[in-house]
Amino acid sequence: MDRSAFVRAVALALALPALALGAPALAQTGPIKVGVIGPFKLTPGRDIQEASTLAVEEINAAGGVLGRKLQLVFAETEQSPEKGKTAVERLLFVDKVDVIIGEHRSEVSLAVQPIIAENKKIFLSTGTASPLLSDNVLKDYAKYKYYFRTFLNANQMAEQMQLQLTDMMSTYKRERVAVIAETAVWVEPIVTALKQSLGSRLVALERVSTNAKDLSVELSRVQSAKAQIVFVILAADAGLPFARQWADRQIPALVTGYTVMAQSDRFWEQTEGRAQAFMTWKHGVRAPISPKTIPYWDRYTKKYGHVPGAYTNFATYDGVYILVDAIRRAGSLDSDALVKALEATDHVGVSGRIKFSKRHDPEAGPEFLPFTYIQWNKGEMVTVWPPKMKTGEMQMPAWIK
Amino acid sequence: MLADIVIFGTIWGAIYTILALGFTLIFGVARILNLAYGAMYLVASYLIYTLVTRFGMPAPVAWLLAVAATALAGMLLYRLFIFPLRDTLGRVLIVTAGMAIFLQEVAVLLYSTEPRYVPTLLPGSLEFLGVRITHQQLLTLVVAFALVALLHLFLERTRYGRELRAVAQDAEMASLMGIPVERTYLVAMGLSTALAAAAGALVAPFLTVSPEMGWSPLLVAFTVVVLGGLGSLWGTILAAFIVAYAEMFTAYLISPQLRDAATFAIMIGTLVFRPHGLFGKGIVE
Amino acid sequence: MLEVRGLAVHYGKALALEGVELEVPEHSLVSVIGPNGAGKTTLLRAISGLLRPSAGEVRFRGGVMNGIPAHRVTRAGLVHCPEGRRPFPEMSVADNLLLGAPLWPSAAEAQARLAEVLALFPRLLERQPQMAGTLSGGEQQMVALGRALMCRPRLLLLDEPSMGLAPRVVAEVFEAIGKIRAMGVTVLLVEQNVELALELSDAVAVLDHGQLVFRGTPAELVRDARLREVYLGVA
Repeated sequence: MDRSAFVRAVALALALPALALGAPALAQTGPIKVGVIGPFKLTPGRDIQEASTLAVEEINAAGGVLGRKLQLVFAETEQSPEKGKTAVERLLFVDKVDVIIGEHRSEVSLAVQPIIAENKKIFLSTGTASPLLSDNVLKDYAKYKYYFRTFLNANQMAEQMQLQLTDMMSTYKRERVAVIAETAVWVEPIVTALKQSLGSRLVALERVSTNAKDLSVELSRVQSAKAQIVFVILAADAGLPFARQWADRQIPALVTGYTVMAQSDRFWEQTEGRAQAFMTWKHGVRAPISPKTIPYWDRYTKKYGHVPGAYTNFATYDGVYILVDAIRRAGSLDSDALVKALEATDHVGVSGRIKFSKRHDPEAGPEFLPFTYIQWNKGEMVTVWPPKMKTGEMQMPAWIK
Repeated sequence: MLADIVIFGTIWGAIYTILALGFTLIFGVARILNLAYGAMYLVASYLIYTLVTRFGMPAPVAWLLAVAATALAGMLLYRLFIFPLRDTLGRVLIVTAGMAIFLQEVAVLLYSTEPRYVPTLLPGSLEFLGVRITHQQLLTLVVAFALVALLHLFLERTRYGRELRAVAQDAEMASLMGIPVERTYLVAMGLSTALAAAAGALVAPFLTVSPEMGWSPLLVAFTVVVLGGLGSLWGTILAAFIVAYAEMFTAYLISPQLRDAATFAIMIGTLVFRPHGLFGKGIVE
Repeated sequence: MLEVRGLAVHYGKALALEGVELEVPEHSLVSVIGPNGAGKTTLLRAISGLLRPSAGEVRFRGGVMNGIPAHRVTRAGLVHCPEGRRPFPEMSVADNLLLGAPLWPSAAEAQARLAEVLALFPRLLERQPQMAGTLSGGEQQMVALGRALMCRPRLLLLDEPSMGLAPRVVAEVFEAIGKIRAMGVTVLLVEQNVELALELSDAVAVLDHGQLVFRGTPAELVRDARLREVYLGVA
């Protein structure tokens, strides 16, 4: 070994511990990694992806948080709990993200919630509705306190949906209600609540598979039960043929409830105009919910060339801001500090005012997250309920007087 | 309710007839159990969707073009993948199942899992026996019957129909009659695929187009052929209507979710208790 | 018209035919006889392209036929009417006959041949709409022969046309074969009923264990005491 080689070796030996010490310091100045999970090929997932991207662009343009930029890492879950687990494990152990947001299927969120909790990372769900998720926070706070949600749980939705249904029944003097509801975890509390409150006015109850493709038989049953209102809870593809057949067959019942496909900006075109007078609850409408709502809607539409589609859109956009706000107040990425900061959230976002309850769900109601209904009218989604926020009048289908 | 069952059962029966005829045609003539049959239905539906929404083609033109293109695609698939393996039934099953899954995944890649729609050829509806029937459904019924009649005429009255039947009954003997058996298989594959495509094109406007849509028609076609036996046009038609009415009765009187279960029950029941089908000449040998 | 040179056929490793040399001159009727399993059917199948010979050559009207698919051999005018009649059972008699019609240059010629066939087998006239599978054995053999004639044969390979038929019907069939010859069709006949075959034949070949053991006229065969005993069963 000659002299220069010896010197280099010693220099290297001295430098190593310095490098090792330097590494965390370097990481502190790198971007904050936000893992985003969802089925990105579907509209709810697409909206999670696009809304989070837009929020992060805005935040980074304004300088980021704690002097660091945000970086999104997307992981596809394909609506499958198994794929969801793999995606989350990859985010936690390979990408080493700091927090995880997103997802719209309750089944997937329920599968990944324990994994994220055991690794003590924040999981901010921006689209799932199952109350079981926040029940866990109440039951085992120490373990599940890292879980938050910027979207209503199904019990809250059930309450709000019943308010609208009752209002509709009394305003239009309809007594007979049929319910067509998907078989899914988040739907159960809503169906139970409807059964109790409607009693004998519930003239038909049809449960359908999430893979259903054709609801023509259910429509016939609704018709022969002489239902005047059909209350739909359909996240599945069948929403499209349902609306088409409802109009083609002139089923004499008003439609309300929740049809995911009808929230999409493409629904009018997809039904070739048969969506006229088709009504659905929609979280995120172009209405003056907060001063931020309409500007965001227009900004989003300009950027992506289409209007916000699914309910996950507003929930995700607000979720990113709530998270950043909490990081700023906590002054660190330490999960326990973040939990405290998130619990103290009082944020006016595009979807309304978000304050977390004890179970880490947002408070519901007109002063917090309003529950809005749109109706398709001549190719436009018109907000028709609640009366305080409506941008147009409720229309009747042409074949119903 | 009964009127619904009868009317919708009839419409589905007509669709199932076309589906099953295409499936039994290629099995009967070339002994190919084509598990990619439903995928052809899928291909046609997506083609129509693409031609109409991306290229702005009028629906009837897109419809015809898609059926023709799918038939050609079927012939190409036959030549490339089935032909080299045709002599072993097991290999044909594997390669066609593989093709079905492959095409489904291609649809996911190109169009995502989000459902698509195909425009109605004939808007509007009318009321019959208290049941509202769309013009599209009536058109489906008429076109289905017309296709069955055309197929019947083709098989019974034309030279190529006669050759198809000869090959189906005894391929070697047919070759001794100067009939090019390989070319006949190719024609049968084209016709079979065209029927699957036509069924897809007829049904797509009142259902949705999605990547997994091919499996249910495959189940139906298989069941109808098991029940109705091979080589009998009337057996196939009767079996198609039995399956359709059984599905509708189950859906209306028990639960719509059990519709496929009814079909499975017929298939399994036939295989166990009447393995040769209603008319004695079954798919099971 | 037909020349077979050094023809050999293997079934896997087993040798079915070896070194077969045979000529069938135009307008003649040549019979191939021999015990069961001698390879007679194999010979016809190799000539018509249903089997691929492992060696040798089949020449028909100057062109090499081996390696050509069966349907093209038929189209060249070498038509094989195989053993067991094999009608298309679920097709009408008329449809069975009409299968060969497209092989004619014009519909009129096909129609003329159909008339000849129906004159040859008047019984088929009334049977035309009936499914071929429902006919008696004799009638099915008539369909098989008629159907082969519809394929515009110059040379007809007939494999055991008398098999399983009542003696009265066998006579009818052989009478028809005589008339077919008179129509200008050359015939290569494989037959168990040696007596009848020899009556019609211009030349005869004896096949045993895959090899030709005799070629000559029927008279020469009858004169050969050893062969007569072995193959004709007459001492």
